[in-house]
Amino acid sequence: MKENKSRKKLAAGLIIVIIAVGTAAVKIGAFLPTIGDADTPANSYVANYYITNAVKETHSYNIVTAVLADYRGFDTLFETCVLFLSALVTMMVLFGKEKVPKMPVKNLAEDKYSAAFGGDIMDASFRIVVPIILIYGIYVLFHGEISLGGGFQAGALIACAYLLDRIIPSIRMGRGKIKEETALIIASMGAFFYVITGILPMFNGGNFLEFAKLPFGSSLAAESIVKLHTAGILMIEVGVTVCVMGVIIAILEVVLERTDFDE
Amino acid sequence: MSELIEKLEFFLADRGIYMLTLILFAVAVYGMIACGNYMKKLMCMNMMQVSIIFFFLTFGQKNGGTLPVAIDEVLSAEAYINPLPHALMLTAIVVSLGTTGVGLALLMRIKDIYGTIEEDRITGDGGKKQ
Repeated sequence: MKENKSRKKLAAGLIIVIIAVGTAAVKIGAFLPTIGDADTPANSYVANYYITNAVKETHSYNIVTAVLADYRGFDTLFETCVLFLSALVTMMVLFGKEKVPKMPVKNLAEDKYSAAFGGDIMDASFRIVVPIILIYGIYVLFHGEISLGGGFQAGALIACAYLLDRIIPSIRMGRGKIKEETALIIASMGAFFYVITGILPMFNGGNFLEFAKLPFGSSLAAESIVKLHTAGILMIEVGVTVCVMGVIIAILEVVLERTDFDE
Repeated sequence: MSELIEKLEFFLADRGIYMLTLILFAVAVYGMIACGNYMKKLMCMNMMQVSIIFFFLTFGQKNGGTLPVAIDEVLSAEAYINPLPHALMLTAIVVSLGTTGVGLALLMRIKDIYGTIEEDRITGDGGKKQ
């Protein structure tokens, strides 16, 4: 108990130091730039290059997607790998723990009107919400290049629809779920698809992830290059989406299968 | 009263948002040190990540800039906000999800071995080994 108190004192002291340093930085020192200033170092060098040349060079109207999928393609590739590894580690840590046995599914006719989580209203409304979330996820995936959206968000949305479907209704208990191993395999397929997209241009004499050399079109006309860039970015987005979806479902399943809610 | 609100608005628009993210950061640090429950520590770590993400996003802001989705006629750098912090933080958010998953898995193993996730019961002799 005594130890706890001294720890709280230490923490409070640390907070005061942080606040004091921050106040000094904001009020006195000018090394933090003013918000909204266009001439700050963060807004000056490479960001301006991205904005002015993204449409010309990558043919992607959403500049964030252009940066993510084209200019920094390697970065996103290894980011996807990090995600996959985190799901793998979660599964490895918890693999030896035995699963909590599920309650046996009762007679469906009896069980129809008792929802396990959230009651009848949740049970009825999620049937309307889930298809809309799925449609929106697919829309965000395919429009990530020309409007707001992208692979990460689409994957999170689709996994969110699965999550709602998994935890809300009661009569689905033990049915219609993806196994954790399957989810991990799906995630690995996503990361693999990304790598394949990177390797494909190398058969056509290009570099790794050079979309203009994808071996789909034959001519080197400008129109064809636009199409190839679009195809390459879309393939990467699909890979990222599948990977993020698989990772979220895998983590959810691994943790949910081994959690005893009655405890 | 309206003067005070004006002053507050000016402060926030100038450098005040740094203060707000800093307060969030400080609350999270306090929670990570002072809480005895490992689950609460994990939640505070997530809060810290959120504050860092906010801090980075403020750098991308530009007066008079619109969303970084290019319009055909406009190609000047002043017309759009900075897309780089957004692209970086997008990946950071997703990675924070992965770290949360690993943290939860470790917590469940700790719960298995010690029977509790309260720190003073694990470090003291209160935890019962199985």
